[in-house]
Amino acid sequence: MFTIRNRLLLYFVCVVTLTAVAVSATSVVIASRAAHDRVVGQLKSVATLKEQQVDSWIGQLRLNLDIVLSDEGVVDDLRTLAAAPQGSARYEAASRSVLRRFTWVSSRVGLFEELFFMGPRGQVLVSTDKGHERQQLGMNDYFTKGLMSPFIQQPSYSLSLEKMTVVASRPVANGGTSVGVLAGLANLDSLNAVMIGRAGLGQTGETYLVGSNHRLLTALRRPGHSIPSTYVRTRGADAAIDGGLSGNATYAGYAGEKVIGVYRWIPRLQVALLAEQGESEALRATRFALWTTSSIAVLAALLAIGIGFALIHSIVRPLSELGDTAGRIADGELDLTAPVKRDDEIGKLATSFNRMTGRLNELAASKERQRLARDLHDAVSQTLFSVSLIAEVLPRIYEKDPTAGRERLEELRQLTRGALAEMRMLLLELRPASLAETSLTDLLKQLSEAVIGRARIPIDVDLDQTAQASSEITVALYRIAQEALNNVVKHAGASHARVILRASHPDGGEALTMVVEDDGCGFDADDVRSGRLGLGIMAERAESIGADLSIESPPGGGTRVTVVWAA
Amino acid sequence: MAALATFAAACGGSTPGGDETPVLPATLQLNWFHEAEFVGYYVADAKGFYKDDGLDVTIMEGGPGDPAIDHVVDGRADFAVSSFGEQRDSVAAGRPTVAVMAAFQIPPLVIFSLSESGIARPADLAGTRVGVTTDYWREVLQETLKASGVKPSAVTAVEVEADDLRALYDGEVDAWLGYAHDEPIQAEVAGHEIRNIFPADYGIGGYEGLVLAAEQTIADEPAYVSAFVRASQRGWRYAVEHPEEAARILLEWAPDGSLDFQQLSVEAVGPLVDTPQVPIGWIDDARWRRLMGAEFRASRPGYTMDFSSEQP
Repeated sequence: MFTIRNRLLLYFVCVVTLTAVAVSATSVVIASRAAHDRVVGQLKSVATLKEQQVDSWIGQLRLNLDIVLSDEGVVDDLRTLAAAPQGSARYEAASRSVLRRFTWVSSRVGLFEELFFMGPRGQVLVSTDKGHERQQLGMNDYFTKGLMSPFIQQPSYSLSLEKMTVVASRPVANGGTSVGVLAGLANLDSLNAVMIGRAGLGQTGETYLVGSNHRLLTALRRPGHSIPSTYVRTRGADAAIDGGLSGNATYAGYAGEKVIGVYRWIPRLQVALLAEQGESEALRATRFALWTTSSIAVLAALLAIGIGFALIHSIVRPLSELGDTAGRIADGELDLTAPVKRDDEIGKLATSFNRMTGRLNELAASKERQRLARDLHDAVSQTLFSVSLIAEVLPRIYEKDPTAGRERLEELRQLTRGALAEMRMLLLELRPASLAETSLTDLLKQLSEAVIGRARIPIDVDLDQTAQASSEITVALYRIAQEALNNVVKHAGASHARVILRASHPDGGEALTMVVEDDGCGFDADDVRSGRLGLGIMAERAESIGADLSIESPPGGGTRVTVVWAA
Repeated sequence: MAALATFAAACGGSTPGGDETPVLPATLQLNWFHEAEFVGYYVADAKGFYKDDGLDVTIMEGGPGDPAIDHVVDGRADFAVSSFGEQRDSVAAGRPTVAVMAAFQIPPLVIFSLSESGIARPADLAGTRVGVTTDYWREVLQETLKASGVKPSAVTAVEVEADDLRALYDGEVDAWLGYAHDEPIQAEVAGHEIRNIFPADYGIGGYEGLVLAAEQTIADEPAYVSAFVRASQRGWRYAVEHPEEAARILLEWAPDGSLDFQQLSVEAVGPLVDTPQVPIGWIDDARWRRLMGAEFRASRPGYTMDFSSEQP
């Protein structure tokens, strides 16, 4: 689970993915902020432009009133109207003259639906709309305020005209005295035309005016919002109207969907100007950027992960191959070398590894040679030393006593034969393969002769020449016999030993019985149990070939080791 | 008086268990049958604005005979609706009534005619027959004609039956005097296009639909009065901005009319109540003084704007 490969992979993937995500997220955020700011900037420009147009419209109204009064005669006529009794000739003449002037200005400009003059008490004395004469308008702020200075009334609903109107007024003074108030009533058509101009607002953008009681004043892009019965209560409108603030925000628009809005409070007209654009349209470009950036980030991440896999693979595979090789060498394939493919850290590791196993092999081999040298020395040189001693004294003994001399000669013969057998055994040990190639009977014979030579105990061999066994069985039985004879030499204190090998064919199969017995002191039951006397090895060997091992002290004394193997 | 005790207890002591403000009862006595000129109060009740301000308001229907203003004077009601004229007379007589808000900035009086008659202004009434139902309307007509320079003798005032506009439809009379939310709407619902002349344009009438309270109530329980005025203003604003919903609510109080009638009625009232210059319910001092005329006393003006939730 937590292999180097998986860990490396995990870290790599994490790093790449996190980086990709971070980069794309950041760029998207920056892009969308930029887009948002751009939209707000654009809306602000539009709002400024429209506000200027509103101001210019107001200016036009004022200017036209001034134009009306710019003619000297008009002021005199108005004074007459205010002072002279109604119905008198002077009054009528003045009225006609004023009306001509009003009509002239009004027709030239087309801003005012009606131009009228109110006397000092607020009654309409003359108007381009005859039916409005005698109207008592003294309660209106365009009269009360207009007596003192030029005034623009905020858009209000005219009951008789049944629409929204704006009244502009200004005082008429003669010298220092107030004569009355000149006023003009304008509809919002031209203002509406200004507001619904769509330049710079994209597809979903619009500008409109809302009155101080939240009434809609100019047309909206969407149908179904009649003027003036529609009330606008959005965050932008509320901020401008209730707070008198100017600013921008993103909020739910009058139709419910989110808009980016710039709002302005225009105190001169007591209206709020709103410039709004649908948020989704405004951010469409951002969404495209987002999509593109994310795709690139994902592709990059996938590519990086792919390369990462390949890279990791090229590092981890040689390592695990090295591990496998080490395992196989440990299991016994000592001649194996790790492949050195590259001149990198792993290559160096493989090279060192090979040198190390070479060393170990040499060391093992030299240790083995040392052991053999020691065995040779212990076993054979001792015997040869005895041989040389006897050979030296033999002539004298033979001269003195030929019978004794012949005994000694026999001894000499045994010793040399023993030495020879010992040598042969050692040779067999040096070349384990030859152990398996030699027949069981030959092995047991050589073993016995070696022991005779070494320990000077007479050993009889009784070997069934027909006995045959596979090399595995042969080696196992040989080792058991070797161990048993070792015990005879070392522990039994015997004077005589015997090795018997019998082959039998019970039920058509193969069976071998081997017995090693001596007439020594027998053994302690405890020693058997505790596994001393190499009995553990004998048991192991017997078990490894599925043979029965029994060690006993027969009634005649001594020890008998019996091995029975059946195919 | 009972309200006073309860209110004092509520203010003085702490409410045991929970943070529920105690709900105080209040009675509003209307000065006519349930109709659109009171729609702000019905809406305030239906939308829970009174409840939000801790009041449990009972709206009592009025009618001809028992004037609503008397209910306030003798304590039968906490608040009452009255006309401007009634309040002026009351103040002149020294009765302790005070106006705390005025629903109508423009009085809902109209002289209306069928569009096809072409009558658009008082001057056009010369030589016509105009239907009036009571002396009050006769007077309104006379004043309008005078103010607009039309000789009253040029116009024939004809007595007609209230609520029977057939005389107008048939041409027996050329114009009719009535309330903007009533007779003209009836004609519209009956399928006729009508044209309104507002005597207000000629200086006739002023504030209407005043809400009166007793001087004692104002002195002893200002928070209570404030709550009522605030919630009522809220109700009127909602009604003006949501005429369809207001009409449905009105229909529950006045089921005799059709939904169409109530809706046109509410829409007609809107521009008379909601003007951009002042908050709903506002009484302007200069205008009040002018309307009171000789009856105005600075010591007892007969109105107070201390309880309005907004200032202009």
